[in-house]
Amino acid sequence: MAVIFPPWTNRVPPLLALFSLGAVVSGVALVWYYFSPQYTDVGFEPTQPMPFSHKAHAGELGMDCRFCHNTVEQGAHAAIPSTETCMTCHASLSLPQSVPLAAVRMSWEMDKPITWVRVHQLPDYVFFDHRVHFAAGVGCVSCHGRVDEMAVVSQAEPLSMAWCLACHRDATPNLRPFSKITDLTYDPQNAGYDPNQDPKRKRKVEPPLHCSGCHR
Amino acid sequence: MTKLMQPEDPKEAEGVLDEVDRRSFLGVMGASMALAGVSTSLTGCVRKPREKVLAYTRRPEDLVPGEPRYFATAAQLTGGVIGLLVESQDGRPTKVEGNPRHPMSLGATDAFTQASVLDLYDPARVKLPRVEGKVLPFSALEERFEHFKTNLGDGEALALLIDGQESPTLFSLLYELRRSHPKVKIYRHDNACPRNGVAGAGQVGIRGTRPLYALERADRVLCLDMDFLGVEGDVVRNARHYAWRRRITSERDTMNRLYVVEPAFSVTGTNADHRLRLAPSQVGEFLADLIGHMASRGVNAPAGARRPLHAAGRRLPASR
Amino acid sequence: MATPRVSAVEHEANLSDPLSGRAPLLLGDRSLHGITKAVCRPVECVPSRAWTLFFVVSVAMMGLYVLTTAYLFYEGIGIWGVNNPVNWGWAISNFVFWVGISHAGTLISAVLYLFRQKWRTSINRFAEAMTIFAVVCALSYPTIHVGRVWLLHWVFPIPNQMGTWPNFRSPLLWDVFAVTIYGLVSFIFWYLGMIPDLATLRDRAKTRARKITYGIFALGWRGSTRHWKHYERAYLLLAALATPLVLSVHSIVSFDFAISQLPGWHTTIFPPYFVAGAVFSGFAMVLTLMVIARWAFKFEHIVTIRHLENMAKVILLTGMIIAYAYGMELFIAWYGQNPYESFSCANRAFGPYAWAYWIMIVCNVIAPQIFWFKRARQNVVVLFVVSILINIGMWFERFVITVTSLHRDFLPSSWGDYSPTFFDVAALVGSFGLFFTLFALFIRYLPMVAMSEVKAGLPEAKPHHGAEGGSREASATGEGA
Repeated sequence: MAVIFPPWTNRVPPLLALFSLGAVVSGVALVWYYFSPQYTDVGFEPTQPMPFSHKAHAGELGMDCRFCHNTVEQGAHAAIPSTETCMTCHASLSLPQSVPLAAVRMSWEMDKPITWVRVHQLPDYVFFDHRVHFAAGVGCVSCHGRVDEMAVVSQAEPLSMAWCLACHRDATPNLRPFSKITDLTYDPQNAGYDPNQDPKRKRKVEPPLHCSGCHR
Repeated sequence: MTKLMQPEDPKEAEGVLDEVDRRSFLGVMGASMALAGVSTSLTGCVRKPREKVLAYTRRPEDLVPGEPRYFATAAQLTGGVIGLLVESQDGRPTKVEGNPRHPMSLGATDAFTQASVLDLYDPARVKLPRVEGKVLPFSALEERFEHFKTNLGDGEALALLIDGQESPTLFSLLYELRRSHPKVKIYRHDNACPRNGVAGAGQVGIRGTRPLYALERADRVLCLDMDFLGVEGDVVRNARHYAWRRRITSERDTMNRLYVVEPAFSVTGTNADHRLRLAPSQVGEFLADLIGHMASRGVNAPAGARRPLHAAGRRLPASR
Repeated sequence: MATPRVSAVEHEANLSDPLSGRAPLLLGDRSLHGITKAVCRPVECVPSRAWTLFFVVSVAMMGLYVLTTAYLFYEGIGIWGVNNPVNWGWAISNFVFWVGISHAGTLISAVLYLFRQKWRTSINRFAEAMTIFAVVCALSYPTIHVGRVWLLHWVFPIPNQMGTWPNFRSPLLWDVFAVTIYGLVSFIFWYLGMIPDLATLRDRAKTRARKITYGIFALGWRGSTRHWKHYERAYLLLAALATPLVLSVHSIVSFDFAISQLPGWHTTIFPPYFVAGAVFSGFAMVLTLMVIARWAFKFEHIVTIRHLENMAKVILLTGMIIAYAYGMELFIAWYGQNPYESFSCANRAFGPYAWAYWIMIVCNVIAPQIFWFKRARQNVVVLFVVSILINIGMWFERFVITVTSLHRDFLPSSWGDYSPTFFDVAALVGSFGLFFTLFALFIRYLPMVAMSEVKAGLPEAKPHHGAEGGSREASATGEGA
């Protein structure tokens, strides 16, 4: 009678057990990483309808973020500026005839909005408010990265719930003086900033950790 | 209905459009879940649906996208006017509330006014002018008006039917129309208008006005077959004033009393301290009796009210 | 087949245990080969018509479960009779019922093993199998009653991008761990104990397919001394590991109720009361199935009246504990002078669901009292009938606990009633279908009595036995080789 199970099969059960354990652990790990916004969303860099360069405007020209995104202090959204904002400078000051500006001129003359592709997009069930974060002294750079170095804007942070909670549990490293909120190069750690010692801060920053803080 | 409602899609109202709508995206996502790992490595990204942001070309000066704006306005209801604050989200009216600084609202509204915001989104609402059932652009309408005006003459052939508005602007326009075309006939018709109130005011010598009740000063309120807290004119103001006199904040405060005589159930009747159910034909008798009672106890009606009271008393049989 | 039979004289001589003088654990053909043959027969013969019928009916019932569950996922929890205020209905009753059933297996295999109760060997495999199938049924309920079954993985603490964890302070989460671990340990215990018997089946197999199949699951068991040494050690360790689980699982299931603040639930007596109830119902279920199986497969000489009587004694004991718990609930309700608690008790006994309460009392408290009589304990028909009554009574106990406490809320304005829908009934019937299907497969394809352990309990296995020269076969797998 032929041998059905040669001696090497003795090693199969323990190896199989080990393999199953590894499969479960690595399965969880793979989903944990590859299905998370850290992997799927960071680096999202859609092609925009026109080659607007934040690097040129915020970086090289040194314009303040609020010059264009001026509703950040009063509203939930830091609204995309209107065509009028672009034309304030570009109608006369510089490069009025350049090719990249054609879309802006067209929008202005035909009264048609420019259709930007949204980069930083939170789910609809999250209520995010720029105003309160601004008032707490969280810098733009904390969530949007070094926009002043981006010729095309891409998503720098995962914007996942765990990422939000990390700061909500301990906001101190991300707080900065109110005068430096839009300063993308400022680093509160290097500058040795301590929010508790800042006389301009009227109250302690206590971000909500309960569900309805963000899911209202 | 669905088709008609489409232009009011809330996504559009926010100025944000989905390239792929969420539902179909999720459907595809669910089906290709197994392929997700592959597609991540191929496209570099499994992402939420791409959203477009449509920025304003010229943003109104005080508008912050996503933040509500409030506009003070007024609406007319049952012959009265009510001052309102209307909340507007990105150019869309979403909520109607009372204007606290308007004397006829005092910060509150009634159910009709609350619901009136839906009128704006009524699919049957007329969006363009219609002439003889045909939709016309505004430019064509202007032509028609010019034509109409030149053929009007002294207005012999024109009759206007208007509702019971009290707008001074409307009145001045009507006045102008009458002056240029003296033979224009103007008719007013409005069931909700307090015509009896106006007639009553005329009887006591104040012509062209309608009564406003000073309930905030009344200690005793007698209501004869009238729903002043429910549906009959100025209810918001009446309810506020009536309630003020029932609020006790210190030990010296007193409450008003409400006596209602009515033939049917009404909001006012349910709020009454004493309610008497009487047939409509007997309400007048009740009043006459009451006057007699008051007179016998040496209580006189106010000077202005004496004439109509006597008039009422005359018409009623003396036996009661 | 010519088999070496123990002579009739020897057989009679060995009938009573020489040390304890008790009745023997085995009757009839007690030779090693005879035991093997009797146990392996149902696995090796063509399935009987009765088995086929039983299997088809069970699968049909299970199909009902699959269909009703599919509809549940499609339509939602609303198809059940649950409502506000009775948010927990049959699903939780059935869950607790099945978890309770599952207790007998571990008690018999682990606790009685540690106490060296030899009589367990004839029934432990059977009871363990029942444990595992009951745990499968029990786990199916929390799985489907969450409503959004595709989010079920949220009950486990898996790292995720939301940075959220299940609520570790909730007894419902403890339940997840307790029942899952219990099912896992029970399965390993059951499987480990079965390895030598699987090897026997492998060695007796006639066809290549059977050889390969049983060979895979026998994990290369050859019956060497080293194998036996490791096996015994592992078995002992697992028994020690499983013993605390007997107490912990149903304690934690009782926390689902006891941790809450509802009158009728919020009592400290719940954990021991639930554990006793679990053993009670578990033994009743083992008894029900065993009475049928020993008759159907002619195991009367392996699962003897003495085994059944011992189980009846355990049922009587745990039944008395249950009765004490019922009484103590009433006593505390009166003695504690809490109006809500006393209302809750009165409502149970005399409210709209009083019929369920009295079914519970009759079945769980009064019916087992008959086991005070030896003749009742030795009468198979009485055993069977009473075990069925206890199964019914214990299901009603869970129903009474769940529904009567919920349906009368603190505020009379929040009072409500509960009545099951067709889908509730279908889910309960279907879970029995699942249970019986698994059972039918078990008795058809696996050895339902632990052959090696039964053999080790024979007088011949004792070191000092056999001065007159009994059977010398030491290995349990000696026959087929």
